[in-house]
Amino acid sequence: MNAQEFMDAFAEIIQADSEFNLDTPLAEIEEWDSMSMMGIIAYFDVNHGKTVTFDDLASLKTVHDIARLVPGFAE
Amino acid sequence: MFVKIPGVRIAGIRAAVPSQEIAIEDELEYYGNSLKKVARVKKMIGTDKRRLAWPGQTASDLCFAAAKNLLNAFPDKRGEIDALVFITQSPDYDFPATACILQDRLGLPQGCAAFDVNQGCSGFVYGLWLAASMIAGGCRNALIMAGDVPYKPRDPKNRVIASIFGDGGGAALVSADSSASPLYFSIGTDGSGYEHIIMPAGRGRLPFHKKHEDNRIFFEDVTSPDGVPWRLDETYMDGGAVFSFTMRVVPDHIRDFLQKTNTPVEGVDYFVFHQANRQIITEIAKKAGIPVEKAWSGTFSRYGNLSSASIPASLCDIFGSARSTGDCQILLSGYGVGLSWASCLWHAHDCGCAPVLDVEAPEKAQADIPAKIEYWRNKMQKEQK
Repeated sequence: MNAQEFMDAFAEIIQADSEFNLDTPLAEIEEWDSMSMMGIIAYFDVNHGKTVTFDDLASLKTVHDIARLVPGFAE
Repeated sequence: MFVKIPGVRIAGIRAAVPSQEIAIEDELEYYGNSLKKVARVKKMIGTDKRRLAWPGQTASDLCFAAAKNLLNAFPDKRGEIDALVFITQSPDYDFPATACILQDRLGLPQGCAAFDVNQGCSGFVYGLWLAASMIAGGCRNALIMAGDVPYKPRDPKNRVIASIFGDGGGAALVSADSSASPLYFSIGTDGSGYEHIIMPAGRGRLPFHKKHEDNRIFFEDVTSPDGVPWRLDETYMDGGAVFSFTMRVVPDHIRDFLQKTNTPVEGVDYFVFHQANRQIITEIAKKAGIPVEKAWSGTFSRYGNLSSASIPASLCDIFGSARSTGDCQILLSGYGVGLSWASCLWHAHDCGCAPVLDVEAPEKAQADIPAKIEYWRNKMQKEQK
């Protein structure tokens, strides 16, 4: 999965209207709320067979940090 | 566990909700007056309309309405109901069992066994399993009822609880029938997660103090950093923990269950899950490899999360206008408080249904708290000879 593919998937899951890129801090994304976090957790579980917890997400700072959780994510 | 129970027919199902409705738009103030925020919650979770019990209306009242309507469709069965089970986490009293009171209210025979079961989200499937088990043991018919209404109105400032939950009751008539397809059940428990949905105070583990003035602490708001007010004597829920549990356990449980019954996903016509919220139903379906369009999720948006009544309400939403399930394969699955989960594979043959019933406000006397208090005080002041 490359950066653009991840950002498209991410934007769809969190239903983002606002613009962002990989380096955007999560705290600055209006749509980064608990509903989005559940969507992301489910996304990793269903699409990548990976367990991500709310605590894991709480420690991340940017969109890129989440992208790096994708197995085989191309930096 | 996994069991197969032959000779049992689920003959009829009903559900009832209070006629009092509130829409998420009515609560704009709790979303910072932002229509945008409200639209987002509606889109992401499916929150839209909820039903709230009228003053003086309890879970047993809603279940009574459902059961009364159901029994009217089976007049010959009323005198042959051998067991009545009321599944609730909000009984009319700690004791006697509310099921006993319902036996009397419904005019059921005195030869009827009656008891309450303390389960929530998994409760309706528990009820079907208990009814089927009792029929397998020799009962002719069993009536189950399931539902919850909180003892006190939910605090609208608590958006975790108040925005999600609605009030309702369901009922099912289960009968002995040698021609019925067998029912399959699989039920599981993980008590290590008991704190994730809980009313912490007021019973054995954390009782109220004997001295009235020491109890204030139980009734005070404990507000989280993000502004959610909780109380020790009301429902506390760790939404994230419940979500994680559901994703970790439920999809695999459903797949294992179907495999044990030798039924492929394609062999099931309807997946009727506990309507915790619309988002989780979609995620469960995706992870379990179930086509999302087969996983019904319409009931949450209409009435809210109805606890154990959400499955019967869903069945009534799906099949109510047709008045019958017709002949189809249905998988029911409830999961949540306990932590507890229960699934049933049911080959339905013309199970009677009706649209979800609306229940109007009860008579004023039912909501008259001072009168009830006076009644009991008078009773207690009478000398017992």
